[in-house]
Amino acid sequence: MPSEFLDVAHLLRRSGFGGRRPEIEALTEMEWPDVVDLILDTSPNPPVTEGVPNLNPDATTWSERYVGMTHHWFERARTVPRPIEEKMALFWHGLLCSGLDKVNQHYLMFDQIQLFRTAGLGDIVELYQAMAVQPAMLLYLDNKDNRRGSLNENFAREVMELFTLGQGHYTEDDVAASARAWTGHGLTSYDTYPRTYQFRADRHDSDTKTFMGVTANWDGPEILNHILLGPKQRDAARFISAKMWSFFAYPNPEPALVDDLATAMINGGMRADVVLRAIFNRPEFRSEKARTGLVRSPIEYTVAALRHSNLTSSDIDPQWYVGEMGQSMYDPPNVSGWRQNGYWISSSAMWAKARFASNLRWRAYDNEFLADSAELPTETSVERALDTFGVFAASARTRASLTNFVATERSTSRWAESSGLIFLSLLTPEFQLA
Amino acid sequence: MNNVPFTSDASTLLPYPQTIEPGDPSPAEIVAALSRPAPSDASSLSRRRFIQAAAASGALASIPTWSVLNRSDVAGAAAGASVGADEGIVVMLTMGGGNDGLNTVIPIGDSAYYDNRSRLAISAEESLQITDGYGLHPNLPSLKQRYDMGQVAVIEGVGQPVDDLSHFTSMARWMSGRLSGVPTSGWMGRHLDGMPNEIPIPGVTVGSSIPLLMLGSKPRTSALPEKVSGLFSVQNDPVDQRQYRAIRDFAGDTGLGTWGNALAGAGPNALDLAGQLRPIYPTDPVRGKVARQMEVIARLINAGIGIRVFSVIWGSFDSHSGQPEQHGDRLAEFDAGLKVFYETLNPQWADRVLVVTQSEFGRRAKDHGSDGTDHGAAGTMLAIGSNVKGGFYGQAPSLTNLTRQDNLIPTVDFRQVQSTVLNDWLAGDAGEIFGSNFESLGFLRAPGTAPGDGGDGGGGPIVVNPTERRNSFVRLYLAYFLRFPDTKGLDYWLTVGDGTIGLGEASLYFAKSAEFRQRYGAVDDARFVELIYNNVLNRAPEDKGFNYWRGVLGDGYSRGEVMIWFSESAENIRATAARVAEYNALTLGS
Repeated sequence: MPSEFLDVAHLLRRSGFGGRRPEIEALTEMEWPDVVDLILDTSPNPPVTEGVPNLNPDATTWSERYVGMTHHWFERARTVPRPIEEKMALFWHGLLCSGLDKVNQHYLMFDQIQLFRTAGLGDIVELYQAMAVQPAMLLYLDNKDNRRGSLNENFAREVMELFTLGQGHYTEDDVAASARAWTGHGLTSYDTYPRTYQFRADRHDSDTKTFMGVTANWDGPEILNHILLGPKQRDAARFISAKMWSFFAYPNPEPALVDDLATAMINGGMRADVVLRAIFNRPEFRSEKARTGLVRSPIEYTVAALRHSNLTSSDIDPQWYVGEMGQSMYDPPNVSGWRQNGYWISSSAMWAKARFASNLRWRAYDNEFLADSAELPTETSVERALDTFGVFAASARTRASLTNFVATERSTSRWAESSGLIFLSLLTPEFQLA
Repeated sequence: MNNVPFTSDASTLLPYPQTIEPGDPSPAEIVAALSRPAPSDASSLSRRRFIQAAAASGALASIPTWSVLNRSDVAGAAAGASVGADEGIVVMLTMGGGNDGLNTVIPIGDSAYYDNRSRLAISAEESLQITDGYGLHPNLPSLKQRYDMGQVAVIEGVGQPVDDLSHFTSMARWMSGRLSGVPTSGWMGRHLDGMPNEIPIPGVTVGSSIPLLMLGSKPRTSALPEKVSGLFSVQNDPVDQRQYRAIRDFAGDTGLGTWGNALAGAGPNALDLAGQLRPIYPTDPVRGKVARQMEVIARLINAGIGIRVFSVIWGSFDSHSGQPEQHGDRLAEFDAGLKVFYETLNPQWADRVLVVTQSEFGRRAKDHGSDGTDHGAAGTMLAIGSNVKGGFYGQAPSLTNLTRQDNLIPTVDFRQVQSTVLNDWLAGDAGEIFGSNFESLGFLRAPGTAPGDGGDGGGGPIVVNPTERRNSFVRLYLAYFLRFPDTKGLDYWLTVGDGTIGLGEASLYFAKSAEFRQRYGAVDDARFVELIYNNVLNRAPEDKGFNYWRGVLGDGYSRGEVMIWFSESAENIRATAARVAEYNALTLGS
């Protein structure tokens, strides 16, 4: 049975940054589970080693590094054939947070996102183990300062509270035991380049500790395995799959739905792509609630705008606008990441979106984008503009507003029709929804 | 005065590597790293909050666009936002990159200064002398004027009680008010956390992100743009108005669920709030970013919407080389900011307003071969205002007994100055904010109205002299069109919108006129600058001016904005005085 056009359009928005009409139409000929499999197959994507910016602090300026690493991500998100890879990198960036403000070295933040990119759809346990000992995380949550006799609990606590279980699933004694298990896992000194993970046996507490009722000579990675694969596995699977559902479908999923996803995660060997497949194949994913359940985050919004208008990061420098909209790339506000929906709606964010949309329309206008608008019948001109920006089911209100705009332009100064339509399409509620 | 104890190794205190020149990050980068985007959750700046602020402080009547507001919004406004007659307002000016205190307030009476600064010393004659032993940098005439009025406290020898030359960690300490640990909040942010919720907008930073200084556990600081154009993308011409109409038409029941409706409603809200802020913003702003920011702040104070703390950050003061020009330019920006600030500030607020400067460190006592100075330790802070007890505070660091890196040894912990501001001016609790108590330096009187001054706390609209306004428009016509205004046209601009339209807004319309576009439309920026020198000022541009204005246009300022600056330049006002008088005689009679 072929798939519905609007369902496929929705899937491409959520699994990526929005599809164009021809690619959506091509996919409608496939069965839904096959469409899902296809968008999860990242093999056509260029290797992550391609186009890596120079982030060596001795060879570049701060700005060059920041622009280089942000443009790299915007461009990959905008252009790779299977953007689920970039979408998952963004998901993990907002869950397993580190931030440039504290890590303070661009290449270390970049390496973390590269890990999320390469391992983000695979084995979640492997991903967590790798994340735990990357320099970015060792710096961001202070485990580098966690030493025998001088504990720093930051990482040990957040791993359970924010990354795997949530409050209520562990005790303060568990935090202390975990912190002791993680002692000695640090990194090379600040004057080395590149800084790398370093285990210092002399700083490690190798006495026995009691973690979640089990007394043993725990080491940090064993703690992580115990959380993700031991008796707490179902809690962790529920926690992580609920985060994934909230990111891809809508916040606060129903408990029964979360149970099903957790079961899929466990039965599928704790792989992220298995959960994604389960999410996208759920009928709830295609429900009205999901369709209107998320607001595009600033990064999703700007990538979609670039993608639909054929403009590049160098044309617009989206990295500055996303910050003004409230989402600085590589720099979440704190260890709990970005919130959703209402967090992205405010006057100051709207001003920033409008400035971005205005800048974009003049760049697009220079490229004669939609330049023939004024030659089309009014309704067609509106329809075509919305279609170009991936708005395939505009509300009657939006259509009426734009139709009235075009009609008025045609009775006054025709030159502003195409640029105005670009600007306005980007500010429609439909385009701002995820 | 108590000496500040040093610890020997600052690197153990904070996780950042110590970076010392070259390749230092710029102050903007440092501040960016220590900032957060403007909070955009439900409690950030919204139209409702703004209306509450204005309603509660009684500023409604002075802002013409209030008439469009929904009555119920206003009725729900809380009382108590207004800054009371005995409450203080503070403007924190952060000089990023390390300001050279020695060349700001210059110890002209100390021969050791001249020994250390063989290249960069400023002579007593060049300086603007304020006392026997001290002179100000020659680019600080407005500060001198304030000093002479007894309104400037100079606090010498201020620094961190640790030996640290990193911009990052030093700035993090100054902003957080904490010596160690990872900074997550600023001392001013923590103070703002304690402000009652009835004050809708207690803190404002003019810029796009909120610096660590202003971050607390609650979003109490709003980021406002420095230019009116930052409020929304576009200007107010008819084409834009039609687009705004379309954005307004998106709002309503969209059938797109809660979030679709919220997004559709956010457009009109943002437009409305921009419309309400617009009259507060100058439509013919002054030149220069810092001056612009200070002008906006003065006007926000005048509008009386209850803002207690403002923050401005700029730089770079990091003058490793070419210091005379770089440092001179930064101080000139500071002085221009002060000048426009006090010109704009309604006098009835003056007794409640304090301006404080800070920088992460001073600079090396000795200069070096590339006409620069490296990162230093002790610096000089300034506190300016009519309730400042003018004079010198702290203790001047010795210029002969230096640290092993040739730096001035701090004599005052920076937190002592910050505590003085919090306790004596903002009625705060510095002990709680800093976790320890510092003795007041005593450079402040209590904020409030001087006896017999009669201030009422209401604030008021900026009053523009109608004759001056008319003359400005006549000059604008002359500048744009090289002709007198047609009476009908001039009348239109003088009366449209109940006579509230500014020169800046009008200029943007002028710039879109066929007459102007025909004359200048096809030329590039360079030719445009050349033409307006010829046409407006009747002379060829000098190189410096030519390059300056090309740069201004290159920075994204519009030709309409540049036209105003030409039209309202002192040179043009003088040159056109006779023609303006002639026109007035023709149209107004004698």
